[in-house]
Amino acid sequence: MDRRAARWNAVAAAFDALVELDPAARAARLAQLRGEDPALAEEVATLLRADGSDVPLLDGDALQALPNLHPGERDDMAAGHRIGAYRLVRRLGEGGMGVVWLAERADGGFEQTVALKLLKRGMDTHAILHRFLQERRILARLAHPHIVRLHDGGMSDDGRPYYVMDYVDGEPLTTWAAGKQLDVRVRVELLAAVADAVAYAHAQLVVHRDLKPSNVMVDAHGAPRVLDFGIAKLLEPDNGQAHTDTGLRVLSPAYAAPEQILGEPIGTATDVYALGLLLCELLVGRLPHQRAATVGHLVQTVGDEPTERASALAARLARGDVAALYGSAVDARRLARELGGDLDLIIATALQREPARRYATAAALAGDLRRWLAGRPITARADSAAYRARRFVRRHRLGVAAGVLVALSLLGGLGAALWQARIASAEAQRAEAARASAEQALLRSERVKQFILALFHEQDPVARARAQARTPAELVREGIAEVDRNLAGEAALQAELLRDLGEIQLGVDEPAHARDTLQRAWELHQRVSGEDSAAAAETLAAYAEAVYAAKDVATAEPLLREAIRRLQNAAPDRLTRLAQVESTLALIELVAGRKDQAERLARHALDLERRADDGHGTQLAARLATLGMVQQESGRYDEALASYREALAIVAARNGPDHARAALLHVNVADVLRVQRHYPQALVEYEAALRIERRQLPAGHRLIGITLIRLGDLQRRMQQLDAADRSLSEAITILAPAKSGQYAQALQFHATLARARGDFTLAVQRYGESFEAFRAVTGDSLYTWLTALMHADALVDAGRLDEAERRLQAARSALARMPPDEYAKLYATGVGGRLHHAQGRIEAAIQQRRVALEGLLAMYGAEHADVQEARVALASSLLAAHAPERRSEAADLLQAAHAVLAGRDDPDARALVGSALLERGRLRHATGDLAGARGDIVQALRELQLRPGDARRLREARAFARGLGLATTR
Amino acid sequence: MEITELIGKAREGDARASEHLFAVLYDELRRLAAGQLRGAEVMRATSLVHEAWLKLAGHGAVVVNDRSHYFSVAARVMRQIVIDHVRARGALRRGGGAAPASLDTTALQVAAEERDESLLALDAALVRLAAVDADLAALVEMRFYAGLELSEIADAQQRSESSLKRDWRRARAFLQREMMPA
Repeated sequence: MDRRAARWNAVAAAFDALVELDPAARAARLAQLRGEDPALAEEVATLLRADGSDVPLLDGDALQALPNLHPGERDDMAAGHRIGAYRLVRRLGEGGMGVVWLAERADGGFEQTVALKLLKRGMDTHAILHRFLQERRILARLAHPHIVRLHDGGMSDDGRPYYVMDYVDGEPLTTWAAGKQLDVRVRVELLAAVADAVAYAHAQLVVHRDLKPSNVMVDAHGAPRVLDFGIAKLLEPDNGQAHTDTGLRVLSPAYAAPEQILGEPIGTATDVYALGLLLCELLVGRLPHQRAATVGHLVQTVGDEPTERASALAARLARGDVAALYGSAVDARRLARELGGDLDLIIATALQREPARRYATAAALAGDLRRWLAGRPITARADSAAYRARRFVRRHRLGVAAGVLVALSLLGGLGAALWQARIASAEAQRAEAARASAEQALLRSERVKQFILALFHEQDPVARARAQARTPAELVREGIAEVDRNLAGEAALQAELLRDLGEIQLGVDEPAHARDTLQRAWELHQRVSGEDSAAAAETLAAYAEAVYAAKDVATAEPLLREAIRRLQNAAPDRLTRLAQVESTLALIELVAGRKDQAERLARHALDLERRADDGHGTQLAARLATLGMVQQESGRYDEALASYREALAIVAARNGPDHARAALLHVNVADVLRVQRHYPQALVEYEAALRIERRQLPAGHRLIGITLIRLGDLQRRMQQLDAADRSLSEAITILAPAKSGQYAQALQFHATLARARGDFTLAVQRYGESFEAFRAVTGDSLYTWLTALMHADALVDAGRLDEAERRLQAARSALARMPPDEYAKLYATGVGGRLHHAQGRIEAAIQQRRVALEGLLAMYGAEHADVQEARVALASSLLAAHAPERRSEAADLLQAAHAVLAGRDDPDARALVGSALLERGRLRHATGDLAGARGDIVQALRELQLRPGDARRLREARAFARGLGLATTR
Repeated sequence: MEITELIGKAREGDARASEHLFAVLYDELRRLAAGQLRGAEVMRATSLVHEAWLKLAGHGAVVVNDRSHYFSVAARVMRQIVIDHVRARGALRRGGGAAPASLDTTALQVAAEERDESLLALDAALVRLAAVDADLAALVEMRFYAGLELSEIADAQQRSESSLKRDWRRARAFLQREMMPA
């Protein structure tokens, strides 16, 4: 062993022994060692110092320090290759995430040169693509002069995600500034513009997450352009844990905020941090911290990593470094002096470890940068009175000097100092007030954003599995509790947020909660902003809407009128809000039967919204739909159709043809078409609605059930009985859990269908269920007892006459307790007639059927289908009396029915014709006209075979035919 | 020649086998490193070394000593690859003018370029460490260049992890001291 090695062994042994000790013990042992062997002690001491310092290089591994091992490495894409609608033209560069190409549209659509970024393999392609498609619309909406617009994205043929953005012909901000040797002021102006762009994106609820020099380009006009907004988020793993290898590999560790490295929640403050780093690098060409290369080490150290002041970094720059940044006229000392003070403080404020201690928003940072440029006090230092005075004096050096002279001569030194301090503090107060109001607005948008993010977070399956899943409604309620807890001292902000959250509650279908929340918001606003303020008026409007949505129409109506009055006085510019309230009032007027009032309001609301239209169109479509409803109720079907179709066109143009709103409008259109008996067209519209709903809504959503009810009923009317059965069965399954009125309706339609198919057992069962469901939901309503009548009718079909009689009796006495309803009364009479006829009580049947016919004639006139049915029914009973004197009346009735029905070809009409022919055959048989009777019955059999629901009549006809000696097929 | 055979001979002191082994590993590891670069961003030297081992040794049974020897040779190979690359890149930059403008150079790359100097300094420090303690230098090669975990090295060398930990700390302090600006 040579001497050096032996020496090292001694040093190593001492080092090993000392390094494990605590500092005090270590110092003591080192002192002892110094006494024995000073040289050895010195060497051990340097090793111990080295041990205590950071060795970012050694703590990683070699390849991490060398990500670019193959600088010449190229992948297989070549110019001319086509990706999506784009053709690659020229390679622009390569980065951590992928390769950037200059590309042009290849589909001949229009001339467009773009930058296309093709992501590398090895990332979680499917998850990225999925998130990309989800967020594309949001990101593409970011339109700001300093933001590079995202156009498109998708997956290349070989399965790599790509996205397309504006092509910026320029260079990174830092390089550009150095190349132009810009002075400090111009650099600060540039960064303020970048902060503006970031603030704009934050207002759109998009956080960049990966701001760094290469993402901030300066274009040919010298304007900064921020790239890749929101992209980092797309590339993160689904569980949101950014501090894993996979997460950090899409970040740039040097530019990541501590919360990103530590996997803590990320928000707008994360971008503020990155802007601080960017500013520092822009000004001194260095970052204010040194970071470990490995993620593990970084996680351990970032919590208390030292951050150097920009001025201190500047002071240590070599002459050549400064010259490379600013040109040779500037030296390190001058630069350090210029950065010291406010700029240091601005950067330090942006770089606080705790997000809450940074500038609250990018806009606040931009504000301070501009204050610095204007020589005004910055808010980051607003608490230092001495500072303010100094700043003031510097800015008004001349004026202050003169002022001080005057003041001194008048008041003496003390007065001047006070005067000076007062002005300085007023200045700072103004700055403070401006900051407070801006920050409050942003805080609000921040809270709302956090809230929305929380909503999304809950949709993340991992988060859902981890925490107990909460519904959006529960989340909103928690948000409200939090607002009350944290903002009780800031009533204005509290009121604003309560209004937002209350309106969200309305959106998530919690009208009762929304009503309570909005009522509180209104009371708060009246107190803080004043009863006659615009804020109070708007909140009252929202509250009134919620009361209406909670079905308390009596309370809602005066509130809505009051809201209209107050909005007209205090917030005449809030056209959309006013239109919305008027529209709701129109619906109330419509239901109350005041159609003229309703129409006037609906039209006025529409005019207002047309003036206000924000380009989104949702509100305009809603106003058109309300007007359409008014027109539909007034029986002006063509006008109603025109309104609905215009609304549809707006939704399709602005939200896409498959937007959920379009589904409701298709249903409206179909309802009108059905009433107009344009069945095939109505069918197309219902099916369109259903297709959209199935795509846009979760399976089993109530709206799907409601559309299916209408579709099923239409299909029955169109004799598509199997399809109708499928539709209505699905509707029943979907609607059963809620036991709503719609559920009862679906059961009733299914019963009617069963009856049409001749399945009387099922018809009886379904009507019975429907009756119970209606009674559970609506109590003793007309719906309940009309359904009871249908039930009784079906019981007659099924031959269960005693049950039919009991049900009919119950229905009649219930209807007698209710406000008289002519239709219900006639229907009950008709069912009574059928029942008595079936029971063989022919005289009673004749009497009731005569009453029913006369009533129907009075109600509908002679041409209505129900009237023909009543005529045939009465004729049938008259003939069953076997009394010759009644035959001529029966003959007249049949003749009249026949005359009306002759020209009609729909199945219902033809079935009635069959029934009428059967009766005429009986009449002719009774009068001895056998040939005529045979002719009628042959025809009757043909018509009655058309509808399975006429099975009973068909059996009667067959029996009669056999009696006439005719062969009938079974 | 089978890699295990090469390793065996190299371990027994066959200089030509040793040289051959180094060359084989150099090609293989460099190819793997380049291949991995096309995929993931963060490379792990350790997975390269393991991958090369699996590839070269197949799935046959290997004796522990062979594996240990393989790791130490592979670590030296990686050190060589890294230093060759740093030098090549330095030459490229000095001779090749400005680097092409890239839309998205990651900070890691910038940082990496700044570390070229440190890598060269580290290599020099490692030469000095090897002069006083060759085992410690070999440990640094395995830990830093081959990216092996201390537990893996402990397994391969049949040593306790805690004593390796002490060694590593000492080596780290030595190198740091050597690299610190005077």
